[in-house]
Parts: sequence; structure tokens; C-alpha cells
Amino acid sequence: MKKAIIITLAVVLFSALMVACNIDATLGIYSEVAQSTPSSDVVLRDYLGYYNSKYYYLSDDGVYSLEVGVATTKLLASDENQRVVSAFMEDENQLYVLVESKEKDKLGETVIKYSIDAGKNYSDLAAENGIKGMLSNGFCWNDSRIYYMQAGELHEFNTNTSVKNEILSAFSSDSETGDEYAFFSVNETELGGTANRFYVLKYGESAPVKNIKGDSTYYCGFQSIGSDFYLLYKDTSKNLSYVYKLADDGPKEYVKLNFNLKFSKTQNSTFYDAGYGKLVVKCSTYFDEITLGDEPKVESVKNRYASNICTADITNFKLREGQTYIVGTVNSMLYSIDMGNPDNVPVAIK
Amino acid sequence: MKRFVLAILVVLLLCAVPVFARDSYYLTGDTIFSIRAGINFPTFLAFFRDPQMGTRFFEDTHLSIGGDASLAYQGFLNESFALGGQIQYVFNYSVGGKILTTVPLTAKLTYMPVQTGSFDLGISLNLGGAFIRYNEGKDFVPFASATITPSYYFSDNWGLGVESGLMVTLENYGKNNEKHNQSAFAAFMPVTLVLSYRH
Repeated sequence: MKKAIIITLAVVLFSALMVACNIDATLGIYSEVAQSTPSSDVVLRDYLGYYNSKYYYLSDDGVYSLEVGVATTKLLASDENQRVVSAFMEDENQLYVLVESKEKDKLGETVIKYSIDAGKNYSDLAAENGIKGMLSNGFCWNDSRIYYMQAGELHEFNTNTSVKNEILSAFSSDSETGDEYAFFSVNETELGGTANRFYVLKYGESAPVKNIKGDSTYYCGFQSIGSDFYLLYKDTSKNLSYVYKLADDGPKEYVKLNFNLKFSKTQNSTFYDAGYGKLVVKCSTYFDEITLGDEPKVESVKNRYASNICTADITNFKLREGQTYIVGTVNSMLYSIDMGNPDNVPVAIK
Repeated sequence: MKRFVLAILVVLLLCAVPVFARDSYYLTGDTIFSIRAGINFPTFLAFFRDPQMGTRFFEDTHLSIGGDASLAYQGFLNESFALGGQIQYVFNYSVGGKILTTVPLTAKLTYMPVQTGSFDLGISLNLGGAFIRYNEGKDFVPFASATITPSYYFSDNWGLGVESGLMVTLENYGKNNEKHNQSAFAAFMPVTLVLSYRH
């Protein structure tokens, strides 16, 4: 009996101590549970576009098309000979896939597979450019130049550089005009040494929209809104995240987000819908909406259009039509959100 | 799931009906050591500060049926009440495939209104705290449970029973915490087999 009482008292005291000093969880635990989404065997990396009733996407093992209720078709796969690195769909027929060789005598060599019939047949674009990376909106680069893919050809941007490395890039679509932009932070060799430069490039125009002296800050996100450009930054030392606005003399801190970004590395976690009128940023557990202006305001959202995807890892947002956006999530595939009716919950595309 | 839960409740209540003859088998100082193992049903998540999130029942909690196991040791304070402690392990998977673990540490008080020597009915209340963990988040939260355990003793010392009831945890964040509105009650219904040794 004494033993039982001692055990009871020990448990009660220990519990009381622990309850009194409640260890704060990193996230709301039950909130995260309630908003968890079913996972898929496929790991999504990029949503490419919607054409002729098909959704095109890049997964960890290749490029696919999905016709809802009909079929999922593998267009080009990673296998023992090649690894699919990235993909870009220019229109309903033109598909570009950056592929890296795994064959012994060509290990690491890259080539762009080009299709003019939506992935049915491919030809190799000139490999001598040695393209190292390609974004899903058509920007690509090698060790010394930045290009955009158009009509089966590489078009070079006029960047005043000789050598680039440490290329960090993020892309953005303008929902009103449909224009595609990319932000590049590059180290360039100049007279007297290397320097960092920030470029904002517009698809289809060889002259940079912005060409600014850069700094060592690792901006991890980018959004174009008309002639304004915004950058995301996660300060890992303070565990805070910010939006910066790109001025002619460099990025200026614009507003602090309520919630932290999930990653400090490049992520395509923003979109702006002109009709909705707010810059939307996907943070680790909430969406932060920013009302733009001289005194920007941040409001956090986890329900309505953010429901079910609040805790998901986003690959990218892409306008499908009107005010409907397709959201790629790493483990749970594609969702459709309607910013014309933002109270509606996301719809899973299966 | 709802029908199964209701069925379990009905069975337990029926177990409690027949033998209300008040014989006393236990004396002050007698002890019971119990091992429980079975399953638990996620019953609800109630976000009481967030009307948008509201209360989600059963499948809407996004949790699957999970497991539940515990060890308990109690001593009788008198003929009817036993007091002791319990350590428990509960787990459930979310629809996203991630595991929610709950480890309650509690004081356990049991009222034994029915004790015939071969058949016991215990009504227990557990109070204490629980370590909870999901994905990158972890916390220590208040925990309480109320359970009914009918048991059949097939020997003088050993008995086998079934236990069910309701377990509730509270994840609470203060007014100055950015997660204030994410505070929630979580409730689970265990259905377990209980092996008891009394002495």
C-alpha cells in the first residue's frame, strides 16, 4: 500500500511540474494533425501547366501528364541511363526536359530533350551549351550565360558578365499579363575580382529588367507584380522571415512575415492575383497575405483557400485560367484554388 | 467507426448490469498490477478558440485507429478504492502517414463497485500529464481519462478484462502565444484487453 501511494505521489508531482512548465511545441500539434493531407507515393517537384484537359508535372522519377478520371501517362522517365532534372512546357505541344546522363562514358553530361507533340517524341537540342539548370517557366543557364527556351532554341540574355557561379534563382508569373520572370543572384568576375549581381529577367526580352549590384544575402523567393519585384528572405539566426522590395539600389526590407518560411533555400511559394489584390506567401504552417502599400499589413490564413494545404510543402503556384491556380504539393500532388472565391477550400486533383 | 464505438459502449454497459451484488473481496493494502494493450479510436479534436476549425469527429480528425498499451500499479485504500500510477503509450497515424505519439503519466484512482472474487468491475479515473509528439512538434500537456473495466479472474491472482472509456488531452496556448487560437482538446476511445495480477 505504501508503495502504491509513493508511486502515485511521484507521478502526480512529476506531472504537475511538467504541466506547470509547458514546453512550447514548434507548431500547434493538433492543428497540424487536423490539417494533414494524404500522401502520395509520387514526390512532386514542379507543376508544369494545364493543356488540352491534361495536367503536366515533374515528379522525382520523370515527367507525367494527368487527365483526370482517365489516365496518368509517363512522358519521360528517369532510369538507369538518365536522370530527369527539370522540365518546361512552352505551350500545349512544346515540352523541354533537361536530362543528365548516368551512362559511364557520359556521366554528368546534360542535354535538353525537346518535344513538339506534348511528350510523344523527342529530339536533342544542341548539347554544347552545357545547360546546368532549367526553371519550369523556361529560363535556363550554364556556367557562363543565362538563356530562355523558345521555339526549340536557346536565346541569350544580355548580361554583362564573363563567369557566373553560385546561381540562385526563383521564378514568378504575372497573373495579369502572363509574363514570366526570374530572379538570379550571381557571382561574376570583374576587373579586380568577383562581385555579386542581382538580375531580374523577363522571358522573351534579352535585356535585363533589373541589373543591380548584389550582396551576399540568400534571397529564397521572388514575386513580380507589375513593375515591382519582391524577394523572400529567411533569417535563420533570428528564426524570422521577411519580404524585401527590390529597389534600383538594392533590396529594401518591406515587411516581416507573421510566420516563418519553411526553407531558407530557394522556394516558389508565392503568388499574386490581381483580383484578390494581396501578395500571398506560403509559410511553413500558414499562408501570410500581404496588403501592399506604403504601410504593408500581414494577415495569416489557415482556412478557406489555405485549408488542407496549410502544412504541405509547396512546389509552385501556377495560374490555370481566370483566377484559378494550381498548387503543387510535394507529397500530395496537385490542388486547385479559386481566388475568385477564396472562401472555398482547395480541391484535390486526382 | 462510429457504429463500432457505439457497440463497444453498449457491451461495456451490459457487462456492468448483471452483478451489482455488493460483496467485498478486497481489503486495505491489497494490490493490483495491470498490463493493458489494444487499440484506440480518435474521437474528436475540438479547437475551442477557433470557430473556423471547430470540432472534428472521427475520420475528420485526420487520424487513423491506433494502438494503446499501459502498465499500472495500484493499492487499495479501503474495500472500494484503489490508488496508484499508470504509464501509457498511445499512437495514431495521420492521413499524411506521420505518427502522433502520446505518453501519459498519470495517477490512477479506481472505484470497484462490483467485486465478487471471480468478477470485478472497476471504474477508473486517471489524471496527470502526457508527452505528445507529431512531426517536428512536441509538448507536455494535461491528460485525463475515465474508463470502465470488467474483469474475470480465472485464478485467485490472475484476471483478464476489457477496458474502454475516454481519454482527453488539452493542448493549450496562452493569450500572448501566437498559437493561442490553435489550442485544442483531443479525445480518444481506447478498447483494450487488460491482464491483471492481484495480491
